[in-house]
Amino acid sequence: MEAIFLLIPLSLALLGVAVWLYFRMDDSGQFKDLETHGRQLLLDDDSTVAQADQKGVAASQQTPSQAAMTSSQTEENTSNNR
Amino acid sequence: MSTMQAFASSDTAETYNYTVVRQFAVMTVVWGVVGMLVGVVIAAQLAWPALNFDIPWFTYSRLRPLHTNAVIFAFGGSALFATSYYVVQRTTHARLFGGPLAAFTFWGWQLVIVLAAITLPLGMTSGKEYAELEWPIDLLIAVVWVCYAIVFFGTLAKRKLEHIYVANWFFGAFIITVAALHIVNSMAMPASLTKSYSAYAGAQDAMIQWWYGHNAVGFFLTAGFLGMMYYFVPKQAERPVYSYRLSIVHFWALIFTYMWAGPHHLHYTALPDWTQSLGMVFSLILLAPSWGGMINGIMTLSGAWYKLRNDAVLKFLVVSLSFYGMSTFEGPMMSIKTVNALSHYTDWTVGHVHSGALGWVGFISIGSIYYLLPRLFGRDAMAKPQWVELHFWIATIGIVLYIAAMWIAGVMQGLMWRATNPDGTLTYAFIESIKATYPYYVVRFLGGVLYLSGMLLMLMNCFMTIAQGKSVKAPIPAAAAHA
Repeated sequence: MEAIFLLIPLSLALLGVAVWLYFRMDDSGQFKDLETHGRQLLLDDDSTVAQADQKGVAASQQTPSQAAMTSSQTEENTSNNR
Repeated sequence: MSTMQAFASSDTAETYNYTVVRQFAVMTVVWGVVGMLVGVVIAAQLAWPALNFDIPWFTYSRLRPLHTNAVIFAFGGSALFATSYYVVQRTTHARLFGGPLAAFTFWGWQLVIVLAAITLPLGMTSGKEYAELEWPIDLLIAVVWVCYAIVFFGTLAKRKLEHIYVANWFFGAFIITVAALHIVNSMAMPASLTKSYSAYAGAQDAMIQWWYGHNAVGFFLTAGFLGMMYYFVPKQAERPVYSYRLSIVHFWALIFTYMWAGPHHLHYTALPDWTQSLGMVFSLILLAPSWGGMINGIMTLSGAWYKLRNDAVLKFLVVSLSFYGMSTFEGPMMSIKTVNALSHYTDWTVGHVHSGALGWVGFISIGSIYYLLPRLFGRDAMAKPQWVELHFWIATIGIVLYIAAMWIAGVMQGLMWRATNPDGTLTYAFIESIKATYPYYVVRFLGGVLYLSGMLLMLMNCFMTIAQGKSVKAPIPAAAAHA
């Protein structure tokens, strides 16, 4: 069973990388606040109906603040649609 | 669309790269139809062998790897590319890293698929299940995959939001592990451009092959699609995931325990007994993280179950989780050696794989694409929302027919093969078990036809949605917007 001399060290090495990564990420505070992140996902409005109404091109030529306005318009549009 | 257009149409720096997501999303549906059509053809060949037509490149033996490659790597792979590129951008507020590299992963992956569709029917194969492609294609896969990793992790590195959303952890683990699995298992000595010999031999080769094979199930067909689940289920249900804490625990538990289950594919073979038992124990352990994730996904709907009544996309996503729960219960049970003594080499295994493939992987991908497609083309819904509902029911009935037929066929075959007369001779000749399986092969074929019909409905619906919509350029929200 020489294959295990390759597979076991390789799998243990991957495990080691995972353990190292876990503690590194834990230290950096990635897992500190585990309540808000789930909700934050829902704040990102990815509806694009408004952009399509503006013929698509317009959106890319906007400044970031205008772009933010567009996405809030989109929010209104979607709530109207529902 | 030509490569040049793909490069030229790249949006400005303030928009997300939706072009590559669109390309992969559309090809997911196209390859889904192709791969499932080949599946229906080979299901018919098993019931009616005359359909092999005595044409070498049309025989079951050559079309079967074409089917598995098409559904896993073309359909599933395109779905994973599309969703991971979408999710990583939307959850980091950053455009895909690497400029034209993302377009290269699209065209490179499509080339891999086309080469597979040519070489496999011609009989060029390395003979390794789910890794049949010959060495030049393996090299191309490795190059595309490394570029995929650069694009994905580069995007994570330049993220605008500090927290890495849990779906990205699953996608990241899937990308890294599949790279390692592919490179180790595909080690071979080329004899010519179209023929190579594995670097490993005998039982060693079998062990490496199923270390690859089972972890491909674990990381390609599970971790990647769990990434999909953790984004699209909360988004479609408009509810945060049931427990974000549990999703983090789910991820790390899966990562720490998954790697050791491969030997259960080699029960009662030349593999040492202790290796088989180790594989069995770890397979049983896997039930815990799998069900933790399944419960976490389903309970996301707690308090919002009524949404299932009218939302066909949500139906796809939630039913996919029930199939995930079913097959991750069935899998550990089948890995128990005494159960495996009955189930191994029978159609029960085929049924188990398809409850995972059609139910879990298929439904979560279909649901995610139905979520994505209108958003990629500036629409608020698919052109024919009622067809999505129809697709759901056709496909669900198809799966039930498929797996029920294979359960009955598999247990029956296992019992017939082990039946002995009082004098110790076998009760049944092998051909008698094949003859007894015939009606179940026909039912399985019908189940496959239903599932494929649903997919054709989806393809038409997608074309109509695209025709009504236009390719949008989604702006990246300003940093202040979601701080």
